[in-house]
Amino acid sequence: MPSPDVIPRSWFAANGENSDVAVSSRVRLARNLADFVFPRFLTQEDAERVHALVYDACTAKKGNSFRFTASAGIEQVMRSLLAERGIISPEDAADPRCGVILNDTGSVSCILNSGDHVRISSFLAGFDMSSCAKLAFELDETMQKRIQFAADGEFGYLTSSFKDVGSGLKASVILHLPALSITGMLDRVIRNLMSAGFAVSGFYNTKDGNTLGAFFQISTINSGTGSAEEQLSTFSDAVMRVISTERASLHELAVVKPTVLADMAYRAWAIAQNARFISLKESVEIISRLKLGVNAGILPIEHDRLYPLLYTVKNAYIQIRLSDPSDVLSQQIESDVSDDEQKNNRMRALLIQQAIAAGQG
Amino acid sequence: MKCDICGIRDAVFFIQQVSENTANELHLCRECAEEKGLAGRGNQLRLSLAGLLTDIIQDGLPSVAEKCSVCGITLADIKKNKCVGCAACYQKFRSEIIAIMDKEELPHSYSGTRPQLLAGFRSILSERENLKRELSQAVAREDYETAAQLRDRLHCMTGGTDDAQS
Repeated sequence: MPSPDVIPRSWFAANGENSDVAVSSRVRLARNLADFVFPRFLTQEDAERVHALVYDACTAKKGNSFRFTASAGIEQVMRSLLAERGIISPEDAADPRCGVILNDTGSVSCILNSGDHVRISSFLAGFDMSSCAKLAFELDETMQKRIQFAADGEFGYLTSSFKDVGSGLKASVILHLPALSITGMLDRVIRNLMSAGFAVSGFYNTKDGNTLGAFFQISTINSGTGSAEEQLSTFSDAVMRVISTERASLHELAVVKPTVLADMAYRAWAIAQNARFISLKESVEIISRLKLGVNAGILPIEHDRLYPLLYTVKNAYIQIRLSDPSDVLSQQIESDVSDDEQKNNRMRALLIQQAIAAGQG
Repeated sequence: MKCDICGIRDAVFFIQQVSENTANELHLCRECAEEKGLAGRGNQLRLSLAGLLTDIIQDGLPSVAEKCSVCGITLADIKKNKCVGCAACYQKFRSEIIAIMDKEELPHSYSGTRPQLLAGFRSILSERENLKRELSQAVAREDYETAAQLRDRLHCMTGGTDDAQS
């Protein structure tokens, strides 16, 4: 079992701005060191030099508490956990030239030698682009005191992919849009976002292509227009319009279809409170409907209790909990639950019930 | 006198090329002369002195190789994957990259801040490119003494191999 202090604690447990609709925000900055070829052509020796240079630059500022781990030193279950949290892809985690730098809560991370030498990411619960971007740019600024990043007078920051040339910035948000989905307005909203130059994808997709729980990721596609501030502002305006539309749709639903809404919420509430086994797929659907019920004022659960469950019901986190003999919930699993899949589903049910019990107002 | 090519062994071949107003000399050891086809192969003595240094500067001529001399990526690879191998690719293939970005409708009108240049920073990659360009120019004007010096500096910079980091 990985040492608990390696596991990034929960930045997503905080109660963020606009967290009735927004699950989390992310800002990523792609940077490259001026004196090294890009990671695709980097030797192992130079990759390790990049690790040392970047880590030294990160920790040069007093008060910065970052931890570095080379990908070869990350255990399999931790690789899965970091992938679940969008920090490092499984492919990068398997590349010995890659490495990851994390702060205490996992809210700021830096992946080394994945496409670009440096990919700084900041995460925040809810949607607040300027605060989220501030976290990433602070680390960028700290690094720039010691590292010369590659740039060009015409292109801006130089990156491996042409999509990132310019600011190197990619902004994204996960939104929960059940009311737009129910009222049938979702397709139009997605089309508008895509025609405005943003990418939209389902956040939890089944193998047959369906999106679970009406969770959608919206992100910028390229970094080459205007300044980073302008890119963030354009993205922020577009996302806030979607959030407002979702709120308006929910308000309309609560007036026009209150019984339908209440049925959806109470069904999910009944399963969440009483079921003994809940699969990942069912968990996502239940979390979605519970949150819909909370937003509509039907269910008495605190706002900040539900979205964090989206991260904790995933497989790697469940595995870590189950492999810890001192874990309180793990100890509650009954002796007749012996099958691995059943244990996973039992742990999910317990996690959901614990969150609901703690969050009842 | 040391060989102008390897800079290690004593020169035993002295070649003089006389043009309309100038005369240039090249001093070679036996090994380098043989390697360049100048010793024991009389039929290749027509080779121009510039030809002797062609292999050294070849990477610096994008129109010939279509390959980045720093990372070794080909233009075909860049066009296929929409990715480059190093920062120098943006200099070498600037017009081609702009054409690719335009075709893919990827903007390149960034107007924000750039990183500050650290005091005293000198890029090894760009320095290497500059040296190659100077070497190319020296060969073009048949200034072989300067060309040999530039070649030695390049050799030192790349740690003994001209394909370092590729």
